[in-house]
Parts: sequence; C-alpha cells; structure tokens
Amino acid sequence: MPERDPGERTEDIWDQFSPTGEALATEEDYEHGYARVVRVDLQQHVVFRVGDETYGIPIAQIGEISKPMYTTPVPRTSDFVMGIGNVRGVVIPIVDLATRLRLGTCAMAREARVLIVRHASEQTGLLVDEVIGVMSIAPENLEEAPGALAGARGDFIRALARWDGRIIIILDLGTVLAPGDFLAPGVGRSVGRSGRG
Amino acid sequence: MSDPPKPSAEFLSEAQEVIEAFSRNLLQLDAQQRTGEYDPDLLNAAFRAIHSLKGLAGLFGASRVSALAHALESTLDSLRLGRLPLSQPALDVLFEAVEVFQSMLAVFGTEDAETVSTDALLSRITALSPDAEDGGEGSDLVGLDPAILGVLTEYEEHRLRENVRLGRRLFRVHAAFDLLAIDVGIESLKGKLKEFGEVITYLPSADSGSDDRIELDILLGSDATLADIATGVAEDGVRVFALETSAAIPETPAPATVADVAPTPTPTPAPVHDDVDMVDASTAMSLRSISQTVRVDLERLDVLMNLVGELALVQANLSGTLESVRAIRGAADVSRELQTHLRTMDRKLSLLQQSILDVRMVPLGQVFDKLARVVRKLGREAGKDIRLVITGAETELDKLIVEELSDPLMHMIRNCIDHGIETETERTSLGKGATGHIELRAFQKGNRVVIEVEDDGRGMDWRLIRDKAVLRGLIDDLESREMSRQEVIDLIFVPGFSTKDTATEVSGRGVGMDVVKTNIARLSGLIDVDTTPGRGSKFSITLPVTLAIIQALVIQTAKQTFCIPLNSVLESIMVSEADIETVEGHEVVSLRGKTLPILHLSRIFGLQTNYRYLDPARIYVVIVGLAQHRVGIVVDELLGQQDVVIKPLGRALRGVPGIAGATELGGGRTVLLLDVSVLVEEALGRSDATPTDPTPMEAANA
Amino acid sequence: MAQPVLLVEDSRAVRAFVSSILESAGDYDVHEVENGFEALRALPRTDFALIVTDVNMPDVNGIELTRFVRGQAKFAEIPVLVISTDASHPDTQRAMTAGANAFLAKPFTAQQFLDAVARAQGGQ
Repeated sequence: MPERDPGERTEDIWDQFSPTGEALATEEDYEHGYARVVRVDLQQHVVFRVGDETYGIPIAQIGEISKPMYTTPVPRTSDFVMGIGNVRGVVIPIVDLATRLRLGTCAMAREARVLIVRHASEQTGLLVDEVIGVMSIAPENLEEAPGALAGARGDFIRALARWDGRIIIILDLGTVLAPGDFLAPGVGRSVGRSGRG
Repeated sequence: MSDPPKPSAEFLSEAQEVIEAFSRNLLQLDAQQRTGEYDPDLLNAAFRAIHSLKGLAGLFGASRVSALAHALESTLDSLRLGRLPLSQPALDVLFEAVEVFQSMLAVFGTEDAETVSTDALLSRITALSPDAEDGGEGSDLVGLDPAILGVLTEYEEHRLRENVRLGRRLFRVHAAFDLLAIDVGIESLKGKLKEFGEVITYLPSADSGSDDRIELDILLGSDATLADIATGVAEDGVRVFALETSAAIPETPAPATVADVAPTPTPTPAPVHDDVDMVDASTAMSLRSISQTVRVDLERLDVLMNLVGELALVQANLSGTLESVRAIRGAADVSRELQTHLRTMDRKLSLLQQSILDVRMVPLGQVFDKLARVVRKLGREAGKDIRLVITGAETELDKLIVEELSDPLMHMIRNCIDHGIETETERTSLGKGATGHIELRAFQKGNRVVIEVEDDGRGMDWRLIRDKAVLRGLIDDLESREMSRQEVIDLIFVPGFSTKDTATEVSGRGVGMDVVKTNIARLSGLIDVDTTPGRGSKFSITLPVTLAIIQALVIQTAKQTFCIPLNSVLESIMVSEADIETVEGHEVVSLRGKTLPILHLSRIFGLQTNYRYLDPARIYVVIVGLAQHRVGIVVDELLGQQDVVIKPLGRALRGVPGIAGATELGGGRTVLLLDVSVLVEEALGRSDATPTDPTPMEAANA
Repeated sequence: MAQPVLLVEDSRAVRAFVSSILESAGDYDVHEVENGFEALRALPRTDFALIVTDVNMPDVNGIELTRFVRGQAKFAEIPVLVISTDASHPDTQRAMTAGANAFLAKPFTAQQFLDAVARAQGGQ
C-alpha cells in the first residue's frame, strides 16, 4: 500500500490495509514451501458493520472514509436520505445505510463513519456503524446471492463472502443507490411541473 | 516597532508572483537553450527575480526561502556572468527550485513549514557551482571611460565585455525625454534598439538643464552599422554615436566628440517593427511584467459583490416606493422621473456586478506554465523528447475555476506522457519522428471555454478498452457487443476502469480518469475524448466562463435556512397574523389592494408538524414573482443577502421539486436554494400538487 | 513639516515594509516608486530630504541614479541610502563610490533601517 498522509478526514483504517492479501503467509505457503503464486484476481473490500450485520464494498469504489459530518436535511426525500453534506467542496447526498437496509437507524456511536463511495460518476456518503477493516477475497470464495434472499432486500446484495468466520454481504451499489429511490414516495418530477401553473 | 513585519499575505502574493515570473523566464530560456542561443536579458531577469525573492523573504522572516534563494542567486549570478554554462542539467536544478519554492510557500506559516526539504536541492545547487572564480575578466576595455565603467553593475560590465568579445560594436544613443512620458518614450526606443542588438544600460545625463526633461545615454552593443541604427531609431531628439572600444566614451557633460556619421536630421520613416519579443509557439505565454497587475483578495471582491446585492435590495425598495408615489394624485411627473432613474440604476447595477465578475477572471496561462514545467520534467524522466505547444494561454476564466483545473489537467498531461507518447525508438520505427508533441489549447466558444489536450502518441484501441472493461466486470460480454465504439471509449471515465493494475500501472497515482471527470463536473464542465490508434488522443474540456454565482436572500423558517434567488424576490413585507385571511381554503394577504396567496415552507416541505409563528405580530412574507404571478413565502427571519455559488445536488437529488441546488454559506454550512418557479406553480396549482403524506423531515431534523 | 523621502525599490512588499517603518517612526512622507525612471521623474517635483534606493534594478540602476543625483547641482545635497544585499558585493562598493552616504544590507530590522537613515542624513 502506498503510504497515506493521515489527513484530517482520513482514518486509521488505511493503516490497517494489509499490503495485499497474497503477501500474507498462509497454510498453503507452508505446504508448498512458499512457492507462492501471486494472484492478481483478488479483490479488496472494505468491511463494515451496520446494525448486527457485516457488509463489504469493493475498495475501488470507496474514495475516502470520514467521520460523520454535518448534514443539511433535504425535504421531499426518502427516509434513508439524511440530507446533503459537503465533502471537499462537493455537495453529496448522505445515506443512512441502516435505514436503507431496513435495519433501524444508525446508532451514531463514536465508531460511526461515512464511506464516500463513487458509483455511476456520482459520489454518495454512506453512514455505517463501524468500519472493521479490509479483506482480500478470491472469486472462488464469493457466492452469488442465494435465491433465498430474493426480495426487496435481496436486490441490494451482490454476493456473499466468508471472512474471518463471518458471512459478509457484498452490497450492490447499483440498487442501494438507485436514483429513483431517493425522492419521497409520491414526490416526483411531475409535482408542480404538471403544467397547470 | 523593531519586530519584523508579519509574514503577511502581501509577502506570499508577491513571492508567488516573483516565482511565476521566474518560471516563465526559465521556460523561455529552456526553449532557446535547445536551439543554441539565448537572450541574456532572460537570464538576468531570472537572476533578478531570485534576488528580489531573497531580499523579500529575508525581510519577512522566511529564512528557509531566503537561504534557498541565496544559494540559487549565486548560481544564477555565475550563469549570467558567464562563469557557468547554461546547460540542461543546470536548468533542471532551476526548474526543481520552482517546485520547491512553491511547496514552501504553500505551507508557509503553517506547522508543516519545516516539512519541505531543501537539502537535496541545495546540494545539487552546490554541485553546479564553478570550482573557483576566475578572478575577473580580461581587461580588454582599455579606452572606455572609467567613469562609465564605475557606474555599471558587475553584470552590466560583463555584458559590455561580452559584446566586445562577440565582435560587436558599441554605440552611445543619446536621447532626451519629457519626464512626464519617460516610460512610454523609453519603451518605444528600447523596442527599436533591441532590433539591432543589446541594450547594456541607461545612464541618466547629469547636465539636463530642465526640470521637465531628462537626457539619457544608452549603451548599445550591435553588429549593425551606425547608419542603419540611426535610420532605425529616427526619432526627435535621438542621436547615435559609434564608440571605438579603444576610444573613450566622452565624459558627459562634455559634448560628444566621436561620431562616425552625423545622425540624419531629416526624419526618415522608421521601419515598422512588430512585437520585438516574438517567441515560438512553445513559449508563447504571457510576458506581462510583474508590476502591471494588482492582486486582489477574492474575499474583498466578495465584499463588493455583497454590497452590490444590498444596493439591489435598496433598489427593490425604491420600486416599492415608486408604486406608492404612483398612487398619489398629481404625482405622475414625479413618478415617471423616478421610474426613469430606477431603470438607469438597474442597468448600472448589472454593469457593476458584471465588472466585479470580470475582475475575478484570470488567464489560463497561470496553469499552463505549471503544466509546461511538468511536461519538461516528466519527459526528461521518461527519456522522451516532448514538445509542448501552448495556444490560448491568455484565455480567461474565473479564478476559482482556474485553480480547480490544475489537478485534472496535470493528470491528463501525465497520462499523455506515460501512456500516450511512445518511446523515441518506437516512434522512429513507426516513422513518426522522434519528438512527441502535446498540444494544449484554450479558446472561448460563446460563453464557454474549451480546453484541449492533444497528443500524437499511440492513441487508445477501443477493443482493448472493451476487453479490460469486461475483465474488470464493468460490463458483461453481451453489453460489450451492443456498445458503440464511442461508448466503449467513454468507459475510461467510469470508476474502477483505471484502478491499480499492479502489472501495468505506470502513472503511479492510482487516480483515474473518473476523478478527472468528477472534478470537471464539479465545475459544471464536460469532458470528451477522441482517439485514433497509432495517431493520438484528444481530450476536450468545456467549461462555463464564470461560476454560477447568483445573489440570494437568506431566510430561516422552522429552524432551517434556505436561500431564495434575489432576482425572483420582489419585496419583503411584514404582516401580523390578523392580516392573513383564508379565501376558499387558501391563505392570502392583501398588498396594496391586491390579494396574493401565501405558502408556508414548513408545511409544504413537512419541516414541522405544529408550525407556529415566531411572533404572530411580526410575520415576514417574501413576495416572489414568476411572470405575472405573485406569491408570498412566509418566513421566520430574514438573515440578509449574499452572493452564492450554486452547486448541483447530484443525480439522485436533483429531481426534488422546489429545490434548485445547494450552496455554502460561511462556516461550512450547506443550505438549500429554493426553486421559486416550482413553488409558485405549486401555490397556484394547489393542493393536489403538494405531497400529501408527510415527509420524514422531522425525524431527520430531530 | 514632514520630511519627503523618495523610496526606489521594485518589490512591493519591501516598499510597504520600509514605508511603514518610516511612517511609524516619525514625520516622514514617503514617495514610493518602483524603478529608476520613475525616480528620475519624481526627483524634480519635490525637495526630498532623503533617497532610499535599491542597487539592483533594470535599466537605470541604483549606482547610476546615485551618480546622476550627485552630478546635478539641485539634487547633489540629498542624502542617499543604498539598500543592497551585502557590503562586500562589487555593486555596493560602486554605489558608495558614486556618492551614496550609507548602505544597508538586506534583510534588516526596523531599528537597523532607522539607524542607517540616521547615518545617511548625519554623514553628509
């Protein structure tokens, strides 16, 4: 990992990044006398907690991790939209991931963090209860979302992964951040623009 | 009193200017050095810049900047005095100094001030220094008046000797100027003389008899003949004398005695000389002198803008007064006159506002200079010979936009050098010519500015982009087959496309074109790419000339702050609860005999379920208008008005009806900007347009 | 009656610094110019009590300015304080030879500057 300047917003989390998954000695290394095969298909994920569940998002989609910032509420938006926040001069929506995933609301404890994610050329802040760390996973350890989880919440899940004895839910940002869901039910472009005025 | 002055903004801004000027000098010297001969004036200007910086930094307690400038000053002194040859390695060190100075200034006065290391640079500077001073120059100036030599600086004396060494002849040009117009006169004469050679110095003549005129002797080194020079500078009061190096410059005030040819007294039409300092396109940048610009703190301009905003409100109030005057019988003439004046005032206010916005404009050259240094440095590091051609450096944009452009452009240039331009061998084998070209162009197109970065490198193969996108899981096979060529190429702007690829990553920043696109979008700009494999790539950035700045009325209601665009605000009135009537279920107030509907933001935005007036006797109503429609917005407090930069809410939230965007007020507070047209339509269109289910704003507010 | 001082210096910040020293030290009225030509223009208009000049300036340098002042009967008596980088530099020597009354090396403190002013004015 390149060193990162621990700037005001950047968290210790960056220090926890293991250099890369493949650099750690594994049991296979002992068995095969360190004839290590460097894998380039490992994908790093930032792992975090929302309520009692553990989630992951590919690190490539995360721009930075910051402490919760002041948000300005925006009227006529869905309950999971906390409002807008200002991240380095750019106004971005901040989403309470717990509300979005129907797990209640974020407890806003000391460990709470905002993941600034990039998706479809837009930045969004995701409020989570705690950032746990970073894991590298190989494609064979990823399970496509099982059918049993189908349904509204199932749409948010891209895959399941096993890490450190836990099941990690890899989120599908495409559905979690579907632009159509941000406006409050019943509010749409038609409101006030129906041509009556 | 004995304290050194505070390291003020004054110091920083001048130091910055000096370094920018120094950098421009270096870029020109670099280009000239490659072709062989360089203008000694440029080297002297570079020396003087660092000399000034040293003095400046010393006075303001910037001791590290001063120490570095001191070391550099000696090197530049050796260079300009010819004790050290101007080589590419020497230029490398000088360019590096620009970067180090800028880093030092960037953190000056902060805790990080000590983190910029100068050791490496200092040792490189030391390594450049000539081993020993060669104990002065030859005494081949026998015959020149020692009184003249005595008033030359060491450098001027060196240039005099250098001119003699190069076999040039020396001339004395005697001119008299009206003191009032001396700078104009000197500039004009200097321009003409530079056509013929080098102006070594100006000696004010000690016997000018008049208070209004001054006589000067100008020392010129030239290959031209006396007759040519005399014809070339034909001007009133200018006389040219040839000096034999073996002969003395007659001591002024004694009358001139040495003249090969009498200057032609009849005015000969002077040949027309265009701009003397024509430079080739690679360095065709602004050469404005340091003293011609005044730097103004943007905050001061903001103060001016706010004052204009307040004037606009005064004007709005006057319009209200006009209405009242109109109602008075027999005051028709007065009201007509008042209306005329108001219209004039309105026009002047717009002009004033536009002028202030114009002051914020700066030329793109500021950024381009920086990029030129990057190209030179990276090109040398990569072992590629790259020629950067800049056009349109004088194109102006709002200062904030120019500052924000620096990083994205830098990244694009890096990409050109790392990935675009092939190695010299590769280029030669392709028959492309060993030198790679990058063109940086800026031009205005309507009310937009276009910046293009084009290289003649290897271009991008859309098939490879497609395969990489599939490999990275950005698109699947099926999608990849349905996409057009341009759609595929645009995938380079998608996040995740250019993330770290350990095997091939060269540019090493780990920042991809998606970030470039985001940064450009933040400035309401667009970026496009056009590429041909084997031929090169062209990126085009289209930007607005000014930021979207509007004047806004800042209000508060139900404890939340909003901005209302001032251009839709007609006036603000104060009513009491008793003035609010209900007509057919709609709340209305009467204003000068007219009834207009009012709306409560707290209600339509669901800000508070049991909204109560802060003070039922003093309720503010902001009257907004859209075409002929008028609606009153009930607010708790008017917080004032301000110029605000509109920021988009992003794709997910831009559909929120009634909200046009967001803006930052002081202290990092982000507030929402109301979309008045939608609110007016809603108020007039009524109930079914308003969302019925309460929004969860209260929960969010709690 | 404030003493008019002609300050010739191409750095804006240095000019501001020197002016502030003089103006807070006493009754000085500082005329700031940024090059030798402007100095030539300013000279006949005011009876200056002191000239403070940088040495290293383009075109008309501080040595030439000093020489010019000394050569003109109506200016010859004006004390000249030369600001330069260091005393041993050949240019400083030349300025002194041309007739400057005192020199001061940069960087300097306010007190050092005022001392140099006193030297220049006293040493006539």
